[in-house]
Amino acid sequence: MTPTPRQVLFLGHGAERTGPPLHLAHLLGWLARERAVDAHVVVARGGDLVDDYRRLGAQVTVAARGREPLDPLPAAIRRVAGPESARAATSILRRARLVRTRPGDLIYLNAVSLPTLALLDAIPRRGARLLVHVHELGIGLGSVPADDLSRLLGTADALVAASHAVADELETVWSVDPRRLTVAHELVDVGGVPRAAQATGRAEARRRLGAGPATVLLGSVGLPDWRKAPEHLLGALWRLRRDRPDLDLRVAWIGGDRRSVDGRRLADEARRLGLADRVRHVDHVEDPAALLGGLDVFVLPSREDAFPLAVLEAAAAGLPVVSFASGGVPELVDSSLGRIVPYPDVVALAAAIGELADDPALRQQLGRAGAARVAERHDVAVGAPRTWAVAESLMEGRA
Amino acid sequence: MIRTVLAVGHDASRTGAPATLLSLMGWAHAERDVAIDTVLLGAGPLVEEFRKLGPVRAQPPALTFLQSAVAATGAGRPAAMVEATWLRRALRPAVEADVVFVSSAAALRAVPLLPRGGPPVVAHVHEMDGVLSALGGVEHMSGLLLGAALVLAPSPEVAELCARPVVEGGLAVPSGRIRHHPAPVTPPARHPRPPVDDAALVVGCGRVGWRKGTDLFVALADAVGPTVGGRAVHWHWIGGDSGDRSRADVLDEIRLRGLEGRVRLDGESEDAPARLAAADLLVITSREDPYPLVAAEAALTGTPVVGFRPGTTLLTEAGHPERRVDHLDIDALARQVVELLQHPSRGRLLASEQARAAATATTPLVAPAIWADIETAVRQAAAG
Repeated sequence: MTPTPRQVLFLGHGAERTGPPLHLAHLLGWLARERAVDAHVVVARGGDLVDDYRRLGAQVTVAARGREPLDPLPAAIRRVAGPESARAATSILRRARLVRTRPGDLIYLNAVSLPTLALLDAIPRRGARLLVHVHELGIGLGSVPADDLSRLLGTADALVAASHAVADELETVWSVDPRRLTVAHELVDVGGVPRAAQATGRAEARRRLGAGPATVLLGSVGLPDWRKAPEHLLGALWRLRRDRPDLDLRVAWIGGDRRSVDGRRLADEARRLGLADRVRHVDHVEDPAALLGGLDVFVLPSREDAFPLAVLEAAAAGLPVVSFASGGVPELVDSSLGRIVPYPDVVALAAAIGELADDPALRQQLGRAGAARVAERHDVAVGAPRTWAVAESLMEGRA
Repeated sequence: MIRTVLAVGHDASRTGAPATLLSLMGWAHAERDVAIDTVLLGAGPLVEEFRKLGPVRAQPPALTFLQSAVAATGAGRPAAMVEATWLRRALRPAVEADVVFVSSAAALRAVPLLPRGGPPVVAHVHEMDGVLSALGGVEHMSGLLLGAALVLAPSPEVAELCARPVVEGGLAVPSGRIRHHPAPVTPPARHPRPPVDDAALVVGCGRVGWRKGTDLFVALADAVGPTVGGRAVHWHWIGGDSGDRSRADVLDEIRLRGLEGRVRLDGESEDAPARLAAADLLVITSREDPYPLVAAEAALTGTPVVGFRPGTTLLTEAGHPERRVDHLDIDALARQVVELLQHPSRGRLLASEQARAAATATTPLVAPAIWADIETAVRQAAAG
């Protein structure tokens, strides 16, 4: 007899191609193949992945459509009456829109942020169990009012932490009982990344990223925002240009929007450092993995990252990784597959990049080791069952 | 002879352009008996100071509400029309004025809405590439400056940007219509200098955020280290919030670097000159800042100033161009901080040289020169 499908409501802040929404796409793909689940995804705002979620069999609701007659109200209230009043107005609108959403057997809160908490607040829980997947560290968690976060962490039936760094933060800063916590690292489609890179081809990727034949191309992927800190990578490039003029180094930043505030800052910073001709911002990229094959070294200059999908994809593509020892990155990257330097030592970051730029054989060796490690530990087929075991134990009343 | 000025400001905050406008119009009102009629496109604590000079029309909160409600629908054009409707009415008295003085690039959006056949326009451009790009790009801003009789620039860098062709990222203003004057600085009251003690104080100043380089201030504190020459070094940032997440971001940076005990954000201060006078050093860490008034104010209170180009015009004017740090080079700036803290006498000498240079930028000295240029431009415009 076919088992009755479990009904699971997934809540997310958006459907753009960034960490937590992509994690959900991977998880939904695995569930579609391996489990009988009726998935309903509610996201605060839309994005490229909405269609992917639908193709994977999920019902999708985008809460903030932005086309309703009253949608401009919160923004106007914010200007005049402040953020608290705007939040109240947003909350009322969301409640009205989502009041008929059924939570099913389990609510899976995929990321802790103001939008996901607002969605949780707007949907009647009706006895459903609550699983909170925490992909954030201090900067991300700091965007949520402390009282709201404490209440969420206290009322969750179980918590999944995206890395040991996240688990440590939840235990030490937020006093979460470690028995309610499971560490499940982020997931990557190990086969999909090299396929995407090969489909584009190294020569075409390098052409699009602005690299010549002798260029050592450094790259990073993500929104070029405060947390991802592209200025650290530009600072390292500036030092290397000054101290190692023999190297033909360039930077490709993949992701985001060049016309956004962050995009303009990236361009302005490059210009101020005299690097405008050495830095290319490739924006609105549907699948960054398709361009990874054009890079020589992946650099993660983030202030903080729980366990970045970008690094998993880079390693899966066979790239050596240079990063600060911040957040959960050291749980993946060590000297056998890249270089880790203390945050925020830009001098050491530059030195590590310089070492790899000098040694193509070392880059290949580290890249191969990284691809092997990611395949062994972080492929969807390996990681998804660990995450979903927590959900199943809740739905079966074992937790 | 100018009898009436219509002054247009983008807001009334305690920041550079509004403070400069207030200073210059205050001087014209007091010293030349000029009637000042002010239009403010945004609010701020200086509104009451402007009212002391004459009538003020500031954008009302209800209009701000309506404008942002329309903007939130994604309809940028109708949102601009909401503001334009109010602004056209607010600018009507321009026909009675002898000159319209637009106090910043952000306020230039009022220019196309001025009544036809009105007086000549004088624009004060304090902004550089990054801000101009955020305001719509140099081509757009160049169009707004097309009919300006005179463009005032507070630093040689801004004057050069104004003159550069649009294709090279400039504003394409004919060089004959550009005048460089340091922005008028109201001389701060005298404050006693504290004696050198066992702790050093380094300050930064401005709205917390990316443009003022508050993150670079934190990085500088990290690079300098906890002590210099046996003295503990404390780092205080004086300045209000930018209305975004910048303050929280910088606090995160302080936490990530483990500098909670050494670096603090003090918020806006009404007694900024006293705070500047109590410091051993002011550092200008701005990514973009053509002529920070605080540098001149600090120098006039006896506090030396070092920092990144382009916010350190004062160093050139004081005869120390070699001290201006290029390319946001934290290490180079840290070396200067260490040197000046280790050798307080060098800091005092630098401060005295900077004070002499800053004195030429004080309102009583620079405002007459600016006013003479404005009167000449108005006369030439009248002569066709």
